[in-house]
Amino acid sequence: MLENFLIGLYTILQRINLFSVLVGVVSGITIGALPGLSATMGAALLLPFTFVMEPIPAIAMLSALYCGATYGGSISAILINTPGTPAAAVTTLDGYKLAQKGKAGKALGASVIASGIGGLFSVLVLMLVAPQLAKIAITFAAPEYFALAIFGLSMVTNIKSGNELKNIIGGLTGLFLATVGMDRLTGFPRFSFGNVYLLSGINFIPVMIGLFAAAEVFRLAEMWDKSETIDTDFSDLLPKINEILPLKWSVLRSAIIGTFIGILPAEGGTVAAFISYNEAKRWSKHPEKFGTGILEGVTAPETANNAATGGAMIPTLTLGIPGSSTTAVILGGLMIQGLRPGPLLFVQQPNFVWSIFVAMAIANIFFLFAGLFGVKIFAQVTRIPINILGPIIMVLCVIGSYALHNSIADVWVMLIAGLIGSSFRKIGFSPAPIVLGMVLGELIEVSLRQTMIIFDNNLLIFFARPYSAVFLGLAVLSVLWPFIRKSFKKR
Amino acid sequence: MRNSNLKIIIILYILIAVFLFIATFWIPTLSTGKSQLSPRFFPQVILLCIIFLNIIWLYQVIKDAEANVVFKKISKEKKIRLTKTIIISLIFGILFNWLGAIPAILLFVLGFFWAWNIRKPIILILFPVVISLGVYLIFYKLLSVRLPMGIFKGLF
Repeated sequence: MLENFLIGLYTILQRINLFSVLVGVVSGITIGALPGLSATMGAALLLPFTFVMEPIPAIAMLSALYCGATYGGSISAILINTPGTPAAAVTTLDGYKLAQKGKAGKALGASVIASGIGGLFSVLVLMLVAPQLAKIAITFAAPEYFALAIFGLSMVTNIKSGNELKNIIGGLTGLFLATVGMDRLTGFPRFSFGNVYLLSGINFIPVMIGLFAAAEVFRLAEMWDKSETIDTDFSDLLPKINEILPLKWSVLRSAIIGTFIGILPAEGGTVAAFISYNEAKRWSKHPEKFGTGILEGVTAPETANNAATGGAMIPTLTLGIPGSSTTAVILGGLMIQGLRPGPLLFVQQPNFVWSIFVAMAIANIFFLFAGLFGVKIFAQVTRIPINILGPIIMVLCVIGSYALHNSIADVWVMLIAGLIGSSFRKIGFSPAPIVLGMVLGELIEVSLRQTMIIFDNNLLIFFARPYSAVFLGLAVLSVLWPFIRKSFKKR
Repeated sequence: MRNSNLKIIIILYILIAVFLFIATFWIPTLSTGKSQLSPRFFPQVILLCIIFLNIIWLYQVIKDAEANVVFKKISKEKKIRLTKTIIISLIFGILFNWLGAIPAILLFVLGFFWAWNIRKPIILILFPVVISLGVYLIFYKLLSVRLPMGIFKGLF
């Protein structure tokens, strides 16, 4: 292993490879920080550049972009309440509150440290125990995927205290939206009403941009007062050691959750961030402080979503199954380079595989420095007056939605989602459950129906298999937890 | 928001869910005899849950009138600003494809500033141009995003 690591390190330290990693990280942070431009879109935009490159710098650049963009998403989440990437959606809950309190610098500092730790931890896991972890995940069948996705979705009840019913309705609305379009198993159209666009389903990225970003512009139009500005304290840009140290167990727990969730195919940083946030809240002595602007509310999801990057690369490289939408683009990049992802890649191209591992580790170190030294520059975004920032956000929303498929229909989906999101917020709905429902919808439905087919409609199979039983048990506990806590408080 | 308005919204939500539930019966199915295999199954379960939970919510709103008043009163000026912002954003959506991305952005930013009562000439002149130019250079030139050219297609 050490020999492979040293070969990988030697390869990546070559100028062209190191430069590719740097370009990937810088582009990643920039793209991730821009609302509406996700890591997936960034990877897709960078993909044509890799056609003319050698395999190692090409894939190293895409992998570095993935790491950088996942961190970059937290910048706009904290500063303008608009997650740059879906994985940073949950970071808005406490990150933006901290920014409103004038602690944007601290939130950004905590975010980059947590992201760096999460990313490095997952790369370490990737290097040390990748084959073993992959072996566990590969034993998962449809019942386990269904149970895991249900567990992920059950987290919505804990997103906003006091709104459990609305959160569940929001999650179910997201699940329903995911059913629009062609049925994945039979190919029959559902709720398309003869519309060609709806036939391919509603993409969750324009919906997410609309619910989080465009809705924010509409909210500001209604609520903004000339006197209301985000007061950012630029003199205190980094969290103090005594603020970060108590979070060590939360960060470690989030890194483990993130890495594990990332390994599971189709489960990415978004789910990891939601679960970690929820777990941090559950284990906290002061769960009521979550959502009011505390550092732990930033570090937990940020550690997890970056830890998911290393985790997501495991099934991508070892099984050829993308661990997330971004790794699906990386998978495409691998194929363009003439490489066949799978177990044989480790046997035939160990140098390549280990170079990518090392490239990801270096990318995490790069963005740690870029984030720490660039915090002041990124924090400047909050100094832009809201009435100037408003049209910029809306323009980015429109371009981000359009660039996804070069489709004007995505722009309309985003605008409609923005209007609905703005109205929903007024009646106490959080947009996050809708997005999570949309992300998990397909996995839940397909794995449920596959289970029913394979196990002859036997619902008990979910409880007969240990992993799915544990995940479903955790899901039930997660849904009931707010009510249990309330009843304990009453006593 | 008045409590009665919230009730209307919930009832509307229930009605939409009922309509969609009925629409599921038009989804074609495989004649395997196993209802779980049907593409109708999952949306039907979801929609039933939505209807059921909305009925619970409606009951809560009726039972506890005070707890569900969630809207703050906003001034007429802010209401007008919101309406203008929504209309301008929708027009932007139309112009983005028809007129082309860059001129649409230029007009949208100008319109947005007008809606938000920004009257400083320097901002009105400088920002729309800077934002449009920035989008053109970053997305069109640097990132090669194929922005719609609209009626100017072929000129660039």
